[in-house]
Amino acid sequence: MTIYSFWMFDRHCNCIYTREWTRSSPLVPSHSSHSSVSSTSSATTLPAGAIGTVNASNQNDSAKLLFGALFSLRNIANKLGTLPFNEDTSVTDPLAIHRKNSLKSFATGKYRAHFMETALGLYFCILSDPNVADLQIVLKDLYADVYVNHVVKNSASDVDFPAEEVIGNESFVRGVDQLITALPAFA
Amino acid sequence: MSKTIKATADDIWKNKVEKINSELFTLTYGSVVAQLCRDFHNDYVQVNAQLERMGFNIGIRLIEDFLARTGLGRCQSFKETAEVVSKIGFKIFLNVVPLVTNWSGDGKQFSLVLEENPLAEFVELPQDDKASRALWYSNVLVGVLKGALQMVQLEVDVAFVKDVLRGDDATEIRLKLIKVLRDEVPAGED
Repeated sequence: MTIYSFWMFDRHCNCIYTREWTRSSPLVPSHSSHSSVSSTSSATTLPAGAIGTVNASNQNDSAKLLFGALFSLRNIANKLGTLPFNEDTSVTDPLAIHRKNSLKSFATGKYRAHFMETALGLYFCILSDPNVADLQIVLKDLYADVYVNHVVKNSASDVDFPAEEVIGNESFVRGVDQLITALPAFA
Repeated sequence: MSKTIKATADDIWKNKVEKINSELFTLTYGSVVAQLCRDFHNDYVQVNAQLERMGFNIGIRLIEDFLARTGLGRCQSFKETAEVVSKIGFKIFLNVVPLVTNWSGDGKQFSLVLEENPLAEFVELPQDDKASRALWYSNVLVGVLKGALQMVQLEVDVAFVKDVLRGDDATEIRLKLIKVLRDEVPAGED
């Protein structure tokens, strides 16, 4: 089992963070070394000893296709399963907001995409081997521990990213790596 | 019904929130306001605006912290928003639960009445009439509410309408839903 990569999209539909742990990720074609000039300029340096790339694919087609797939599947899920909203029940059961039918993952022959969306419209997505079981808890931790602590509570960092800006902050990169590489599924 | 909200909020307050000394908090906020009054030469309209701006910047980050702690998703109605803001939001950040009241007929406006206001403890406004007419001492809350709600796509108008510091019988914040903002969609999708 393997975890290939981690992707974040903000509410303006821009890809704000990518982390690929291996170059053989299914989404990255082998000729990607010459993919686009702009992507290499925005790439963030890795902590010593880490493998793979950070923020190297934010602007390429893979990111756009992945976003499009997640966006459409999420819309389908919302449409299919969400009960018609009833004004009375919402007040009696205010914490059942998760009654919404939300997209959690989808799989293809070679990989699985694990997905979580926050109320602010941030998308978190991990691409892994299809045998990796549910990673919802990991996605929640990435949001609640890593993103909130290293980006939101970091006054030097933006929370609303201008187009083409990415999260390059080292403590965030380290935090994500620590969390993911410690998973049994990462091996 | 509202037990579940209350139980959740109590649990978060007890177990997931780092607490600080409330007097330290009150005095720190007090010195911020006092310094602003000096900086703007007692132009209280500007002080209000500055407090609101500061609050807004707090709000847009605080909402993420709030969601991370509570694990909530989007509310389905403005009524639900009101409950969550007062019973969970105010509870976990300030340990007070303002009363949600004075709903307008169309369900788009309500008031939060603060029985206690941790920001305004020990506070007396300057003796001049100007301060008690123009200054909204706790105006940072207005900004926080605006910022936080805007991030979850609710454009609201927020303002203090009463403050015990000015001699009113209660401290009341009025919230008015202007519109629910639409999520952005990728280019070519709309």
